[in-house]
Amino acid sequence: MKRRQFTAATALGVAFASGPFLAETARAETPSTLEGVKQRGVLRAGVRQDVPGFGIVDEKGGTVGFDIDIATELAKRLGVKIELVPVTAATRIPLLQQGRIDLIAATLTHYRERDRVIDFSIGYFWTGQKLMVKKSSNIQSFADMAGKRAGTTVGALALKNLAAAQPKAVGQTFEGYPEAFLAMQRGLVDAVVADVIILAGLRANAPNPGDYVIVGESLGGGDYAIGVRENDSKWRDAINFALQDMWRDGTWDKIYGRWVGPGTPLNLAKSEIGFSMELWD
Amino acid sequence: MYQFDWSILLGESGRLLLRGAEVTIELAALALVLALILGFLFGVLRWSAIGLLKPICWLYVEFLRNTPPLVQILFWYFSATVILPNSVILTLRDYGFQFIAATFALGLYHSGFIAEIVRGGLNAIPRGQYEAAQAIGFSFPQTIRYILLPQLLRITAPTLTNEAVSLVKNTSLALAIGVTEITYQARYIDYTSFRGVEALLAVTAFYLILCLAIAGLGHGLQRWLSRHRRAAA
Repeated sequence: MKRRQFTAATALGVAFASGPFLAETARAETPSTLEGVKQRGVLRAGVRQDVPGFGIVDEKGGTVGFDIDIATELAKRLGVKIELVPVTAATRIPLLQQGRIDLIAATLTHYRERDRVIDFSIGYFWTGQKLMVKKSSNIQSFADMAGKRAGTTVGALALKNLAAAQPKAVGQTFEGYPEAFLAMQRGLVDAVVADVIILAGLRANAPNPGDYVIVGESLGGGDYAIGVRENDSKWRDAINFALQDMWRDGTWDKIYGRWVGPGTPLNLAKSEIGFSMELWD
Repeated sequence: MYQFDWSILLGESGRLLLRGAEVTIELAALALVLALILGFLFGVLRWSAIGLLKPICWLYVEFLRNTPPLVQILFWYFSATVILPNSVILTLRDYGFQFIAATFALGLYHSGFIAEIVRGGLNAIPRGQYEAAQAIGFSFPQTIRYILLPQLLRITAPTLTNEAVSLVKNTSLALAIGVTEITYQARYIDYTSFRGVEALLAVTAFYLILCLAIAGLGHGLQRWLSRHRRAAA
């Protein structure tokens, strides 16, 4: 009995004395995601399943697209296998923060407000916002949107840019882009305002793609970047270097040609995107 | 670990949430009025109906009760362009057609449930009372007004309260067509600042308080009605 008390007291004492010290070392040695991924042998990437060209479910039930190829290539260059975790615009950030995915490759646009919560790689794609209207409409630019309605999703970037480019336009948001597009087809809104990529994807899926045109000057815009957890520069470096290598050795071009370039449903020439990657020597 | 930053609720985000709360309350109130009117109408009709009215009322109630409210909201919003002429749509658009469509859809959806509550309430009143009223020369509307309605309210008050609470919660579905109610605003805040957890907790508190208030009101009404009945008896 006495002995047990002694042991308990000692244990308690040691715990108290070493508590701060242990906490200190634990913090200093928080392993980078890079090591975690290599140890596991699997890279868990959050990808979309609802963005044509970038992350979509194919006929065989697999998830495919530009983002998936980028993530798979990243895994290959890290020497690990890839595991695709489906995410939506709403779930991608929490899943990353909870550690359930190692990175987000899900048409994630990099902007400052978001940078307060997670970190970003360099951009691996660029897209600006434009308008998509019926061919029969007389809207040619944002100037023509005065007194008109534009549909989009709760994506504030497009709404903000619309308000800046044409204060007299009314923005209306929908659950998803397909609903916004449907509203435009039905005349409930006059235009859809969104990333060029998203507009091209909507048009590609329409029964008669020729009836819709993408117009207007490119607004705002932003880099699609890989999202990673805060304060993990080793992991971010590894991703950045791999992305730049892909750009340099032509892998990026190949992936672009497969999903976005001329001849694909998105049918966008590289000049229409106007993207070139930030490269470090 | 997520760091809470409640100060966001004091700035622009808080203002958005307040505006959203206003829209939610407006939407719920208007839809509830519509649901009560249609619900009572179809409830009484279904209870009393004979002949062709019976299958029509059955179809109305079962169709509304057995399709998801989100589907109904999308249906009324998007199919309106087929039903109404284009000029009307263009005019309605400027008055916030999405709000009108959501009010209509939610009002209809809940009227199906209220119709069943009313019918159930009417069935609970002994048929003899109805016949007695007829015997002493009450007309059908008079019978409803003086004999059935006072009892009906007392019987149905608890279930009607539940239905009102359920309606308030369903208003959040209207964000699908761009009604800027409070859940929409929480999503907007989440999307722009990634401070969705704070906004969502504030929204949860709002719904909780609103629904508890309605439940409390319903309970009060119920007590008042039963006291009233004792006094009358």
